[in-house]
Amino acid sequence: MAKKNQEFVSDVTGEVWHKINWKKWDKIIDHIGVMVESHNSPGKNGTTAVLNQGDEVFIDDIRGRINPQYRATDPTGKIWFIPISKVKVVEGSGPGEGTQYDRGYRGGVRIKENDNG
Amino acid sequence: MTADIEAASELRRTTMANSHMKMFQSPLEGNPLDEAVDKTVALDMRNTTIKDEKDRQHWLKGYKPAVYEKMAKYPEKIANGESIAIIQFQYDYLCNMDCEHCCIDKFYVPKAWEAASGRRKFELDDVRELSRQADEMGLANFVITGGEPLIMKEFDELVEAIDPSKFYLVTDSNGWNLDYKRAVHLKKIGLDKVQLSLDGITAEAHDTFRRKPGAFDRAMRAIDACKEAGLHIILSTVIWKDRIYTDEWVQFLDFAKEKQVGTYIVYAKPVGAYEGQTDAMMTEKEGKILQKFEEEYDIFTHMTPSYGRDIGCIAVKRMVPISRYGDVMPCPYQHVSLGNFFEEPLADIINRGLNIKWFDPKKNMPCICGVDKGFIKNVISQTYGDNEVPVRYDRVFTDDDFLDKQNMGDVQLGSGCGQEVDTWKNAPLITLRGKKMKDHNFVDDTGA
Repeated sequence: MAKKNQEFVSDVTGEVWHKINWKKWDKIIDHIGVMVESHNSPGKNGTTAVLNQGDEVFIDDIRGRINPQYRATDPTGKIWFIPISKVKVVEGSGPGEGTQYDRGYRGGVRIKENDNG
Repeated sequence: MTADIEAASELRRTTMANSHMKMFQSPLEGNPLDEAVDKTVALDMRNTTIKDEKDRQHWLKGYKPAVYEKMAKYPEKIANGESIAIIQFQYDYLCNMDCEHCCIDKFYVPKAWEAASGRRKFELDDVRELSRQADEMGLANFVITGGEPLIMKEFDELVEAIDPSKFYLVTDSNGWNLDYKRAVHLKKIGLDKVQLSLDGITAEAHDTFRRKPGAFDRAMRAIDACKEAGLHIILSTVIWKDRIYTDEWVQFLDFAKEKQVGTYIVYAKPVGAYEGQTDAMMTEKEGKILQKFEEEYDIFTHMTPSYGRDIGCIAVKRMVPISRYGDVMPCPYQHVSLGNFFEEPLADIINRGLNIKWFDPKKNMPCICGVDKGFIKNVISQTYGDNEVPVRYDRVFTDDDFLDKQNMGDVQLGSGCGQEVDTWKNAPLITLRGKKMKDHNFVDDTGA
């Protein structure tokens, strides 16, 4: 079995896992992504928010290495953390080369006040 | 006869201290030592179990007197309601393994993007300032964690910036890059202990958990290398509800006993990779079973009594993780920022944390993020899903959670619902009476 496709099955949860390789960040940040499968997110008071297959999101950050996720906003402005396997990045939908990404962070977390993105 | 034993014991303590002074030439001054004595002492140090703790206290007095003096004041600081926190320093999240129980994965940002994004991260000058402030507060322990610290290119510079003469210095490691030569080197630069992650005593179990073929063999090599080099090593393993009932668990403990290494038991928490998976977590019942194991094996948890007192949950009182981006958190599993080191003095942030009832320094609280359903629902769950971590304290705590309403930082008066925190209200005061105490573990408490 090729190393990059090696699968591991958890003894605790039974989940199957295999490594996902990163793409270059400058081909992702500030790009549009299209959902290739739907994604649920638990909301307040037992509600569930859903991003449907085909929905578009705006990707503005990356988190995680083992279970990498895009930080993205939907057209309503809701922030999502979506596994990267569920999103197809639209090539050429982002800013060109040499773009300065001077964003506002407080510690490791984005703040909206100084966000240029 | 008694005098002979005491004299022999004193000699052993002195030679142990001198041996380590020799190994650790900088920044402390060393003493010349007879090579034959050095060999004897090196052999003694191979058996680094918790039972050797009293010896190590005396060793520390000679080897790192500034650390010893700070630790000697800990019982008084606990009595005064001050923090004696270990700084769990998340200097870098880079790692060479993909462990399924990783609780910190969501903090990782790809390096090139991190640099371009404008996030402020720790530089070595910031580390020196952190060290200075921690020393000023009388704190005596640093744990370098990650990621995998021993793949950091600037690991030696990081150790120097922390200043090993002022702190009992531990590194977490998976052992992949830890052979005999490295172990000798780590000891030489002032590292005091390696906390080696081990998730099973077979290659199949460990490598599956770590998702890294060969991880088990490297971990075994690391254990032997540290013992051979006289570098103190303990194991660190994650326990979840089902594991404690397996033969494998007992075999693991027997393995550690045979190797003569202590084991720090980490409760799996419903965060990180196990986000929301409360069914797999330890309950009070399994906690009591674990206490029985503590009587037979050299194991301890974050709940093990220390410094002559059973302080319960160690969050803020005995542990503050600090992220690569300066966020100071209550414990490694509560991804809540109590404040940012780049914005406020460390003492102010910690003191605000101690002012939150869940971290009340006078109360013996249970492991709140592991077993307290109210805390998990009201605080931990707010770090799940689409919430960017660490979530700032003013988003999860209200004025109901604070003891002194004059020291709530950004939390507004009247922000709560007026209901008391039951866990805090019902928790007993920290006391010496009525509690079964282990010996005062000067160095090894909570794995640091």
